Amino acid sequence: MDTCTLWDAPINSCCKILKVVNTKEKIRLFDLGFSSGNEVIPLFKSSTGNTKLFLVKDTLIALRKKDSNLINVELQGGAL
Amino acid sequence: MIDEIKVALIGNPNTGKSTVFNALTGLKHHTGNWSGKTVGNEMGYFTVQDKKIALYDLPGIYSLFSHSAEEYHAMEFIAKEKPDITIVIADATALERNLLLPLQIMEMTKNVILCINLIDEAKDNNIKIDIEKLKNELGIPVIEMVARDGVGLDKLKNVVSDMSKGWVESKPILTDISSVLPMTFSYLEENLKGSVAKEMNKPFYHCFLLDEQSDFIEKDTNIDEQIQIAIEKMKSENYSIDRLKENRSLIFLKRCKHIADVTVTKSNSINDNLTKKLDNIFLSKIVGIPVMLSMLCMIFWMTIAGANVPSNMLMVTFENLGAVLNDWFISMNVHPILHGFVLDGVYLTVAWVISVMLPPMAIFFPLFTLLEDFGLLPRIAFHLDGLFQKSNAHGKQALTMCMGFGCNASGVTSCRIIESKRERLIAIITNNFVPCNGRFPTLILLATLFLSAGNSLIATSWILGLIIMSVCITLIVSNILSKTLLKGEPSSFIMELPPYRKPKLLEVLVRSLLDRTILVLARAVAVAIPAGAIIWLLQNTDIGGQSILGYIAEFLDPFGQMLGLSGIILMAFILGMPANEIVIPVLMMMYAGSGMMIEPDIFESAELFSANGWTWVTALCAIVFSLNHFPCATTLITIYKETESKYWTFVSAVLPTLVGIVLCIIINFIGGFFV
Repeated sequence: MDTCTLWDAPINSCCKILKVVNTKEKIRLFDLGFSSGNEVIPLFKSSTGNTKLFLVKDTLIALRKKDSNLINVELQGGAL
Repeated sequence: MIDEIKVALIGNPNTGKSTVFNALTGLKHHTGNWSGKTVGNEMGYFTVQDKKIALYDLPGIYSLFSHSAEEYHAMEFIAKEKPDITIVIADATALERNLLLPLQIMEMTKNVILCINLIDEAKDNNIKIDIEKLKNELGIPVIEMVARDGVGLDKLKNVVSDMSKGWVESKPILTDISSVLPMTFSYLEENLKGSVAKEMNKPFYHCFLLDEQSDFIEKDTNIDEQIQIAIEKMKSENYSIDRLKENRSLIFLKRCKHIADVTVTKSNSINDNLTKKLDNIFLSKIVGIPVMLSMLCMIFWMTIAGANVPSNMLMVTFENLGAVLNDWFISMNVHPILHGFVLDGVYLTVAWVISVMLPPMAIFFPLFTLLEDFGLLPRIAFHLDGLFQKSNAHGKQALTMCMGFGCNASGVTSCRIIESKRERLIAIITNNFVPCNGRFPTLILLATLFLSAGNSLIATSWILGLIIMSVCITLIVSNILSKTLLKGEPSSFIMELPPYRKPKLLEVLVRSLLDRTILVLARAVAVAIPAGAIIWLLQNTDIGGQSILGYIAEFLDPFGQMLGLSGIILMAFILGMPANEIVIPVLMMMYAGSGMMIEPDIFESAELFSANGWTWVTALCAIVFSLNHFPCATTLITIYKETESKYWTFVSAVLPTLVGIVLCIIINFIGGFFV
C-alpha cells in the first residue's frame, strides 16, 4: 500500500490514517476524527489554493495544507 | 427539594444547542448553520412542574482536552459552578465523534442527560441508533430529539425535573484511564484523600492536578509537594503531560468507537445525499466562486432595489408626523431655538437614520440569515481561505467580512468565532474596509450620478467593482498588519462544514429582525440623537455672519482639496460619524444652507453637486473615502467592547482613514490630467 501525507492523497481516494505528527493541534485533530486507524477521504480543493475538504467520521472538515501535511496516511486503493 | 435548579447546556458546535436553548427558555439567542456562534455564557429560565430552572448555554466544543478558550471556559464552569444537571446535545448523524464530549463530561459530574438531536437527518441518511443500547453503554438518560420541530423537548423537561427529584437515576459508566499511568495514579489515590472534587472520577481529576493549565480546578491546600512527587513519578514512567493528554484522548476515542459500533447502523454514507450533490456545485473549483458571488450579488441587488419604496414611505410618514409635531410646537408657543433644535435637529436626524437604515437591513439581514442557515457561509470561507492564508489571516475572516457587508458593528462582533487573538484583531481592524449597508446609498448615488451617466447596469458594475476592491484592500491591509503591528504565524484553520439545511422562513424572519435589525437600529438611533442636535447647533449658530459649520469647513478646505474633495465634504464625513447613512444628507444640508437635512432625490442632487464644483474625480474620491475612512461611532464602540483596548480602537479608526487619504491623493493626482 502507498503511503503519503493526507494533503498529497488524491481527491476521492480512501485513506487510512497511520499517524498524526506531533503538533499543537494534535488533540483537536483527534477530536475531529483524525486519529490512527480511521478512514478519511479528501473531497475538494478550494479555488484559492492551500485548503482541502475531508470526509472523516461522517463530517466534512476543512484543513489547510500545513495541517494536513502532519497526517500520514495509507492509500486504500478504493476510490469514490 | 431544590427550588432553583442550575442546568448546563453543552454540545459540539452546530448540533442545534442554541435551538434547544431558545426553545426551552423562549429567548432569541442567535443560531445559524456554522460553528462558533455561542462564545460566552447565555442564561435563561424555564419552568417545569413548578420548578424554576436556570439554563446556562455554554460554547460549542468538541471535547474538554484541546485547551481552547471555549473548552477552558466550559470545564471551569462545570468544575466551579457545579451545575445540578448537565445536558449534552449530540448530532445523530455523527454520533461517534459526538460521544467524546458526554463521556468526558460524565467524568466531571454525575447528573448528565444526553440528547441525540437531528434524528430526522440521521433517518434521511439511513442511520439507525439503538437508544436502549446507548443508555446501557453510558448509564445515563438518552433522549431522541428534533429540536427545530420541538420533538423531544417535553421529554427533556420531564427528565430534568425527575432527575432533580431523584426519580431518574444517572449512573454514568466511567472510562478507565488509570491504565495510562498506573504508578502515578496509584500514588495520587493513596496520598490525596481530600474532600474536594468528590463528584469527579479520581484518575480524571488527577490528570487535572498534573496539568498546570488546569488552574481552575479545586484542590486541597498543602498538596503541592505530593503533586510534585507525582509529576516525578510520571516522568519516571516516561510520560510528559502532553503524552498523558494524548493517550487519555485515545482511550476516550477508542470507547467512542466501541459504543458507536454497537449502537449505530448505517446503510449508506453522507456521500449519497443532497449535501454531496450541492457541494459538487458550491465547492467546485471552477463554478463554486462564481455561483456564490452571483448569490451575494442577488442579495445586494434585492436589498438596493427593494429598500427604495419602503424608505420613501417611511420618510413620508416621518414628514407627516413632523408636520403634526411642528403644529403642536407652534400651538404650545415653544421657543424657536428649542423648536428648531428638537424638530430640525434631533427629530430629522433620527427620522433619516430609521428611514434609510431600517428597510435595507430588514431585507439584507433575513436574506443573509437564509444563506447562513442553508450552510453557505462556511463554504465561502473554505473557498476564500487561500487568499486569507496568503495574507497571514484566518479563513473564518471571510465569514466576518460577509457580516460586515450588512453592518460593520455586527461584523466586528462576529469576529469572536476566530480563536487566535492575533487573527481576531486583524479581522476586527479590517472589517470596516468592506462597505456596510449604511454606505451603499452614498456609493449608489455617486456612481449613478457621476460614473455611469444614469445607466443602471454600469452603476451596478461599479458597485460590484467597488466591493471586489474593498475585499482586495482588506486582504492587503491584513497582510501588512500581520507583518507589522500583529506579527505572527497563521494559526491552524480547522473548520467543520455543516450539511445543507432547509431554512425555516418564519423563524429566520423573526430571528434576523430581532437579533440583528432592531439591535443595530437601536444603537444607530441612540448615536443619531445627540449627533442631530450637534449638527443643528453648528449649522444655526452664527458668528460674524457665518455658521460654525461654515468656519470648520473653511478650515478643512485646503486638506479636502488635496484629497480631491473639499472642506464641506470632509465635514460631512466627520458629522456622519454617528451613522454613515447621514453623510449625503448632511452634505446636501450644508450645500443648500437650509439648516435641515434633505432627502437625496437623484435629480435635485445632480444639480446641487455640479453647482458646488463636483466632477467625476470628486465623486470617485468621495466614493473611495466613503469606503476607506474611520468606522461609524456604533462600530467604534463595538470595537472597543470587543478588544477592550483604546489602542486597537484607535488603530481601527486611523488605519482606514490613512488608506483613504493615500488613495484619494493618488486618484486626485491622476484624475487631474483628465479633467
